[in-house]
Amino acid sequence: MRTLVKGARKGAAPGGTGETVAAAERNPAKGSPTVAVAPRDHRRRGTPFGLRTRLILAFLLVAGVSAVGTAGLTYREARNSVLQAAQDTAVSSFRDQIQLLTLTLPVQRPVLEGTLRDIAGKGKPRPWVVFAEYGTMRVSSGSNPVSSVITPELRRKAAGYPHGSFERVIKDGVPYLTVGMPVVFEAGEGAVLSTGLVLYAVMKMTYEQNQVEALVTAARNGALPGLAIALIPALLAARSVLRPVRELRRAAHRMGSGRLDTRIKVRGGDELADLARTFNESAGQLERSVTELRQAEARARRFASDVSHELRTPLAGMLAVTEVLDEDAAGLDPDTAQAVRLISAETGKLAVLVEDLMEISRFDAQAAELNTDEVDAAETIRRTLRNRNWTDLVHTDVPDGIRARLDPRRFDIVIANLVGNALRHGGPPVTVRLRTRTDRDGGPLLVTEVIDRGPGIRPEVLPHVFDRFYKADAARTRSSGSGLGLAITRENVRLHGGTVRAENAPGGRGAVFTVEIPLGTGEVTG
Amino acid sequence: MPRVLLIEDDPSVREGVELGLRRRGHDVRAVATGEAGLAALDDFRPDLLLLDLMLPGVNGVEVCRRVRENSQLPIIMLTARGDDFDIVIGLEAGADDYIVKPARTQVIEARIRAVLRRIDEQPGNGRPAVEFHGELCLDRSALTVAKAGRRLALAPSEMRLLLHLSATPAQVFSRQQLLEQVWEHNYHGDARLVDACVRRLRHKIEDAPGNPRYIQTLRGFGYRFGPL
Amino acid sequence: MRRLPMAMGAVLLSGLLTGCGIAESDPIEAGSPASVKVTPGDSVLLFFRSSSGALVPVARPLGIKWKSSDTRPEAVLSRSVHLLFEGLVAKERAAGLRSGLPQLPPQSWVGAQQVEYGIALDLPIPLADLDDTAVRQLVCTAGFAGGSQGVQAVHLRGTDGTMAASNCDADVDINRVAPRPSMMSHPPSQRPVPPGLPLDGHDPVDPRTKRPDGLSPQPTLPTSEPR
Repeated sequence: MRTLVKGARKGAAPGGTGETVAAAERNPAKGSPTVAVAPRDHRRRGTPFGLRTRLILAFLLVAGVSAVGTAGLTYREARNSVLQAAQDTAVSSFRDQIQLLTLTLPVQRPVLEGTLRDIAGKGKPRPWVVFAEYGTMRVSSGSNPVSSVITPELRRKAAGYPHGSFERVIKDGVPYLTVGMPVVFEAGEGAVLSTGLVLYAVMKMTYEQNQVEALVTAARNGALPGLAIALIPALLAARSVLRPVRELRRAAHRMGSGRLDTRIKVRGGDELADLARTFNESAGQLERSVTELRQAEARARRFASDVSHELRTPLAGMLAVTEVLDEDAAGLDPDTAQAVRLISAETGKLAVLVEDLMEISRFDAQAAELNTDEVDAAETIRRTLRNRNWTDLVHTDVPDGIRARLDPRRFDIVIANLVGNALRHGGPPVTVRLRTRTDRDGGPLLVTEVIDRGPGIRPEVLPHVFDRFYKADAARTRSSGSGLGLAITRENVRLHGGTVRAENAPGGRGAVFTVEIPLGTGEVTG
Repeated sequence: MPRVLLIEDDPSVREGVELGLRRRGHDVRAVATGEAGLAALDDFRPDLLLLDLMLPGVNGVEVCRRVRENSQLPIIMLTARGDDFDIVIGLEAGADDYIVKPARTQVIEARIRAVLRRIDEQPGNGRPAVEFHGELCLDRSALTVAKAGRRLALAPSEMRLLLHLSATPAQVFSRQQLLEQVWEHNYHGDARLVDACVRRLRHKIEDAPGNPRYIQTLRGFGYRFGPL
Repeated sequence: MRRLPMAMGAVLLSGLLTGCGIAESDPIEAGSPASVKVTPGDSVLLFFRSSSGALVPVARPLGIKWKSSDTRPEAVLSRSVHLLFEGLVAKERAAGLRSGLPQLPPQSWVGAQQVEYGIALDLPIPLADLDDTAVRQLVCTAGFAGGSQGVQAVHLRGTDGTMAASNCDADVDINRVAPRPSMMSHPPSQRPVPPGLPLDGHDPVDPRTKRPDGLSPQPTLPTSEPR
């Protein structure tokens, strides 16, 4: 199974290879994106008070207030003028009709009756019922001598300082206009005396009521459709704002997932268009920067790779003839022999170093491939030891039957490196132990421990053992290693999605290197 | 000692490998280009071809393909390990094995011996020389395979793999086991070698390469021959 | 926070809607009262009262005989006041009016004089017998008698004293009638009447003082129409 982990392909943020490889540690198989996509926006379903709702409410409110306000004010004015017209007409025509009369004092009932009927018939805007009160005399033009609609307040007003007055009374839901008109006469020059007679006119205002109700209906019928129609511009306005906003959100989301070539169409010339333009410019700049960085990274990779490659070519020729040199060295004079052996040995070391460098640079370029195979872990370890003839030197505690998905070549390198270090720098007995355990999240782990009983690792050295070219003892002569062994081991383990750590053995004697690799799903048998 | 034709464009590598192999007793012809190599095939008649992948002009994969068109000459690719993609193509094109540069002559020689041993080996002893499996007819002594009467041209690695698997039908071999036993890779080798060879072999002997009868895959375990 | 404008709108709407229709009102002033003509034009105004106590003017048509008697203002005044004391006629009673004045003692008469600030009425009765409305009735009747404008101040002089002058307030709001005039301590000065001027059946005589010529008063009262 081939798994390619190329963080660059997923639009990695140029935050350095460390992060991307860190991501690869955990998910080599998935090749997860290295830039986290924002959690699904929980407001996408449309909140109660989203933009659209707010706009619609605002529009409706404006339309409602203006419609109601206008309608209300207009209606009120119209109603008042309707009433005023009716009232003024009634009062003045009542007065005019009365002023045509000539009375005797005291007023006589029969005369009064006739007069009232006369006046009633001539009522404006429509016929009235006229009542007269003179002393104890109560006369009317209708059937009842006394009206139930004339209020005591009106009587009081009419009986006071003489002037005409009117009142609106509602009885049984019917509005009435009552006019009270005291009758005066001129007694001598300039002296106006009250005759003691007060005439009342009662008029139904059903017609005016109908008019007013018609006004109300008209106002309502005008306002409500207006409100409904106001919805249309509200929706249009909301759409015109929401669409660009949604576009922007989608574009931002796409940008976040790594598609830096996302652009928004700029429509119109308002603030949203400015925003879109700004977004495009920023996206363009971001894309350029990222492209530059990627190109720089690619160039660096190529350079490292080219350099190593170039190094290998001369080495290939040199390495091929080292055996010849070794074989014939014995036949040369001692100095030349020593020189030849020196060259041969160093060529070999150089070849190892260059190989390690190539390996490390491949990791750095995220170009390392994991070629996994399902193998028996114990058998793999045993084979590693066998191939290097370490079987007798190393104790093994490796139970059979643990199958794991490993890259056998890389795992072999890891085990060989750790065991080789244990044999060289640690001390006997060297033990390799294999077991499984479950990690915090419930996933199964393959645990390999390489334990030695040597001097252990000094505390100040411990955090740096996996660093590149780190030699524990600066004064120590160069060992056979390139200084990259543990770094390569760590990268190989990381590639498998696992971890490797170094610690001193409990009890103080020796060191323990622990490699933990996820077993994958459901692969533990036995 | 086997005659080796070396096609390698870099002079130092060419000289070094030639020198090393000659010291070991091989008869070596070293050329710098693919065209010269193809020309030297008829002329030199090597027992094995050492072929660099990265060649100017006609590149190594193309040379490999051309050789395989009409020859079962054992081919070992020389490659720098960074060229993973090309390794696959080279293997698909018909190379029997590959060596990563730089390599000691000792390693090169071991590989040459392993590849050539396929041809020299005589399994014999007690087993019938000719076997019939389905439509296949295997002759272990003559080292021929025929399908439905027609002779198949198999590369050395393919032949050896087929013989190995069919010697114990229905037995499962892991890729690591096959690498060790068929290719004699001491250290954990590249399983792609096996996969590419199986692919080539299936292409030649199976009726439907997508639904193999003879060379069957057991996911997570390896390959086996049959059962039919 | 967003609900506030919605609530405001609802309130506005409901407020306007409930203010619909025609609403009742209080009595509202609406201009001048109706002014009519009263017949006959040459009647005399007598002020009686309604059952509720309000002054009610009555236009009593008078005959030629009444008119052609002594036309001196004082004589007309005296005759008008006498008419008032005589009370209502049938028509007036039928209209529900009341007199409200006490009866004059027999053979007495009412004197009227022009004085400094207006008119003085000499009544043969104590002023205490008159209630407030009666005072006003007398003041108004005297004020409007003989076609005068009614703006003259009227003193009432009774057997028990003299009242301060007052004007007729019949054209004033009933709720704002003037209080009863108070009794005066010093009676106003009188304009002397030219002596020797005979009246037709009537002499303006102060019942408290005798005429220098010693004639005794003759209580002859003309009547306007048969009772």
